[in-house]
Amino acid sequence: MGKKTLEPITESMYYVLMCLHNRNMYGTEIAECVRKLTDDRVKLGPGTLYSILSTFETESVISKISKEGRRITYAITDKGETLYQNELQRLRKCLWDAQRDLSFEESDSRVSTEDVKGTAGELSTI
Amino acid sequence: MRIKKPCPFNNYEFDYEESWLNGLAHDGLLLSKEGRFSYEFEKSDNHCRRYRIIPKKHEEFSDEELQLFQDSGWHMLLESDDKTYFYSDDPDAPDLFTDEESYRNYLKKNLRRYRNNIIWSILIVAVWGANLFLRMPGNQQFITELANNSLLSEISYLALILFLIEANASQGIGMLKCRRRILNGEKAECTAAFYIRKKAELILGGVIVSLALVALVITFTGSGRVRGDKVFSYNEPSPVLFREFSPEEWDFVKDNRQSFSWDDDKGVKYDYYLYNSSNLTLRKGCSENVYYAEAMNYNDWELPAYTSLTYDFRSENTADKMLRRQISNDMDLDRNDPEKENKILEISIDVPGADYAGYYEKRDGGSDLQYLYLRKGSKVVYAYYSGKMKLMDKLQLFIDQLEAGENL
Repeated sequence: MGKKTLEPITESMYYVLMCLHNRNMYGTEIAECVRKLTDDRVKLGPGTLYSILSTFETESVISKISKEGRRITYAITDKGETLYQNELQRLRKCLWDAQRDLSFEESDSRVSTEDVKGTAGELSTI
Repeated sequence: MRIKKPCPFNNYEFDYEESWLNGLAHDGLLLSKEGRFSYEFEKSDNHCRRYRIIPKKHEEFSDEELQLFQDSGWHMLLESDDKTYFYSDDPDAPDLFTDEESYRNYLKKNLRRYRNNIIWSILIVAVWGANLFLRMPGNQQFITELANNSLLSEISYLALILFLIEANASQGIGMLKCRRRILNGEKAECTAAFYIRKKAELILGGVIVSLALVALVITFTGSGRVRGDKVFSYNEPSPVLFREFSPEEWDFVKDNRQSFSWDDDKGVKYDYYLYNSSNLTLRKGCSENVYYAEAMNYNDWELPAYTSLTYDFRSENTADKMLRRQISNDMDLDRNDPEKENKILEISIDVPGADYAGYYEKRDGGSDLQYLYLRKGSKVVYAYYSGKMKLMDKLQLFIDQLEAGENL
């Protein structure tokens, strides 16, 4: 059985998909987009980014659409879009589970309401 | 100001090397040039330079990859062997690899292709080393080879094998360790103790290589070989030559040297050469070897074969050891045979003035093989003959050789 290179999808991979879900971009634009989307929380090193782009291209998650000098612009494919939506669903489910769990804990007075709001607020930006 | 420092890391310790370079950069020493054995550094006020070494040749990077590196503040510094060095002076530039998983996958992909190279290299060295070991002088049948190469050559053979094993083992172990570090996500910290240990390993490797080289040079410069027609114009000291021992057969050998032809159903091709040598165990030596290199239907012929030598070893003990080893080889005696000494004594003959004299005869196939051994002090005279003549009929020629010290 062949190795599934996209399971599990990493946080960096997810944000690359998110950026390309919005519009077509070249490498440096993707790194900048991820940095802005996450308020500098997630920085993509060029080696990591190139490694992700190569894997995505091999797995037909993204495709090259144009080349300008040494810069290559990528677009998300249908497979990539499905992968992104599935991951989004999974994360929503995770968030839902976490909120439900927190409400149980709230009743035990172990976690403050402010913490729950903070966590949910952060995740809802996805 | 330029400072040179040795780089003691092997190819697969690029992560340690990276840590070492980062440490030096922190102290204000920036890598400027890479040499074969050392790196050149420049003193600088820039203390925030970071390095990343990628185990990949420069031409293997795609344009896009290099552009991405550059846009992120990482520039190529130099390329060495199969590694490319990048640096960044921007403290805000993200690391080349910001997640462990991608770094691990990237390295695993690049190291995979080296694995086969190492396996092949180890296999080749194992076969080559075994071959060298089996061909070592101590395993040769002819005393000419034994004495010409002697102990020194054995050392050089061993040194060469050791060097090859050391070089390959160091690379192979280095690669395995590197793989383990990558798989376990271990961080390579180049501490002062680690650097000193690597330097010591480098010096040890250098000493082994130097010894091997010196031994090889001395061995090869200490011996000379005269072949073919040049034998006729040879005026240096010589042992009892075949032309003195058996002039008639010598004519036959000369005539048949080039007469071999696959078109004939009969034919013989002779080869002969003279050796003169000098090395750490042998003060001076010369030998002659006459043999049929190729022959057809040689059972119908009484083909002569002849080896004769005169050697003056640097010590009596070595001369005795070499002679005993040769007798054991000729008599097919087992190295651990408890009767070995007795058997060597059994073939001794009485020759006035000689410390040891022996004569041995055996039948091999259709030929009678005759061996004569003489030793006086550190000087050895040896003859091997197969043919119509009787070696003992010309014994005086060899005794004269043993006593004529000025011949050497």
